[in-house]
Order: sequence, then C-alpha cells, then structure tokens
Amino acid sequence: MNQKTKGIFLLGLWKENPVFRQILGICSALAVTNLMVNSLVMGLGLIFVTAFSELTVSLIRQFTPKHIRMMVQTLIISAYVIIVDIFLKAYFPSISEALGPYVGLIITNCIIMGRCESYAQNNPPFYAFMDGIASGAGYAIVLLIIAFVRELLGFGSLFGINILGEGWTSWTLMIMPPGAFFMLAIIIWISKNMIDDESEETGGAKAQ
Amino acid sequence: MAKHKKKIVYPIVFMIIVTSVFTLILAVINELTYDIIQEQSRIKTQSKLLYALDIEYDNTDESIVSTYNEYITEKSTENYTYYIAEDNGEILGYAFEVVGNGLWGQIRSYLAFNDSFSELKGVDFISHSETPGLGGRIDERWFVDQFQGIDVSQSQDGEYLVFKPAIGGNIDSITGATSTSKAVKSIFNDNINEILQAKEEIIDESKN
Repeated sequence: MNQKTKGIFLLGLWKENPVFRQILGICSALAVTNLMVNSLVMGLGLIFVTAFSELTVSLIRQFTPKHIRMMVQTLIISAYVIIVDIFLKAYFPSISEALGPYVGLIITNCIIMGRCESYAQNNPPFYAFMDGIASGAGYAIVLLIIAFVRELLGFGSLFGINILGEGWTSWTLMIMPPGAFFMLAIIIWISKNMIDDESEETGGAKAQ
Repeated sequence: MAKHKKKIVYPIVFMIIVTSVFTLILAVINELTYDIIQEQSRIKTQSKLLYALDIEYDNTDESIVSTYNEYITEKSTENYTYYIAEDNGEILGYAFEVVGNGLWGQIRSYLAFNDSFSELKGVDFISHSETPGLGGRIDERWFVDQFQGIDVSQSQDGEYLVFKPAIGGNIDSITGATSTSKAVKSIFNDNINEILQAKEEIIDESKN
C-alpha cells in the first residue's frame, strides 16, 4: 500500500470520517444500528456501492459533460444499489427483510454522492475506488460501534448470540430511536475532542 | 471561442448510452436471479403457513418444502381458498389467507383454526408495511404466539379477540402502536366471524 492510499484511508476512517466529522449518512446510522448484523450488512452495502460508484464516475469523468454530471452520478449510484438489493433478496432473504426499505435508501446516502462529487470527479479510478472503500469503511465502523453498544445493552447479545446471560435486564431505550441519538452524539463528542486535541498539538488548524 | 451555447446533442447521446448500459446490466442480473427470488418467497410463504398451523419444521429450505408437501393441501370452495393440514387422514386444522387495512398499507396474514373451528391454531403475518420498530413488531414471535389456542366458540359482542386489560381480554396490544394493534384485531375479528359462518360448508367440503 503506497503513501497516497494510506492517506486516503486515514482521512476516510478517521480525520474526515463521513459520520462523525462530516455528519453525513446520519439517517441510516440512526435507523439500522439496533442490531450488529443489520449494521454490518448496511456497512458492506455502502462500501460496495461507494467504491464502485466512485470507480465508474472516475472512469467516465473525462467524457461526462459537466452540467449533467449529477444526473449521471445518481444513475450510477442507483444501479449499484439495485444490484445490492437484488443480491440480498436472492441470497440473504432474511437480512433483506430485516433491513426493509433501508437498502433502497442507500441511494440517498449523502456519503456516496458527496464522495463522487468531491473526489471521484477529479481523481484517477484506482484512488477513487480506494477512497470509496475508505469512506464506506469509515461509515461501517461507526455503525458497528453504535450497534455494539445498542445491541449489547438493548438485547444483551451481539450478532444475536447472548452475551450477558438470561438475568440481564434489557435497556429498551437503547433499541428505540433515542438510544441511537444518544450513542451517535456521544461518539461525535468523543471524536471531536480527540481530533481537536491532535490538531492543536500539530498546529494544523482546520479550515472550517 | 465565439460559441458559448451549451451543446445539447452530446449530453443527450451520452446519457442515453450510460442509461442503456446500466439498464442492460440490471436486466441481466434481474433475469439471472428472478427464479431464486421467486423460490425464496414461495418457501417463506410456506413456512409462514406451517407456523400458523403450528406444524413443526426445521428451518431449512428442504425441510420447509417437504413438510409443506407432506401435510398441506390447498382447496377452494366457491367463496374461499383455504389450506387443510392433514396427518394420515386426520385433519389438524384449516388455514385461511386474510387481508385487511393496517395503518399504512395492507396487512396480509394466515389465520388457522383447529379441526372443529372451536379455537385458533395460530396466525402468522405474510406481509405488512407498518412502522418498523412500532407497528412492525406484529412480526415478533411474542405477539404472533399469543393467538395460539384462543377460544373462538363464543364471542363477546361479536369480538373473539379482546385486548387486555379489558374484561375477558386475551391479547396484549403493542405499546406505542395502538392503530396497528387495533387494525390487526379488527381484521382477525371480522374474518373469524366470516369464516365461522362458512365452517359447516368447509368441513363438509373437506371430507369429500
């Protein structure tokens, strides 16, 4: 892995993490994180769609007329999302049902459009693809962290396997929507403190 | 350059090509997975029917199909299509598909009676579009299972199912999903009423 790819991953996973730095993809981060399995599938789906959408956008970027590029991007993203949807329906029907409308709603995830527009449009295919994986993984990891806490406290289990034993009193609040808001806010809070500390040390202030 | 007019032909041609390519890809994938998806949904419906009729099956595709073929026959009279579960000539129960309006859309479910139509064998929901996490919880086993063994040989003012804690209540409603709970109750009550009026006809018919 060369230096540039490393840089891309550092940005996607941490410094410019789509969820807790750019506050993108929040709706689905709140919606599907009550179970680890759902979050994992959602994360993998997003990695796939973002990576291949960025790859495709980047491949045809020189031929795409600038003023219709958004339309082209939307088309590309939708096509990949439909592929994910069909794949889940055919091979993982129970997960497809558990995620319900959220798979289709990957289309509206701002992370994908955001990365296509800001990165893939101006960078070669390989790096665009890597950037898609990095951003998708950044999103997936945050989802898994939130789901870890929510499922553990809300059901006493992880990936459906009981961890805390029968005597555990479930925190119903954690499975309900407020649990997601609390968790997400805590994660944004912690990460903001950590990253601000870093930038103070190095003196590299962010232009925001 | 004197020509500042945006070109119109190229973007249109470009869009048509991109759209055709992606449509073609999606069409091929759809065609390849169509049978698998149909098969999955058929197995799923069969497993729900078995569940409603309280027939045990292993949770594998083969077991569902073979158990279904072993026990269940589909019959229809002039007015009804129904399913009979038989074990060596002895009738275990009758199941009917019932449809009604939920909060957001149609709720389709199976409603199963024992051999003499004196009590409910069970129910299971085939499809619905209730709010995930609230009304959507009608899918959960604790809710579905409480319909097993409900006495329908006598009603209270035409109602067989009554929510607790009302006098004579036999079903728990879902907290936070009052409309969905009410909808489910009235769909079942109405259909139980209708089916019981036709029970003689159905029992006679099935003996032939």
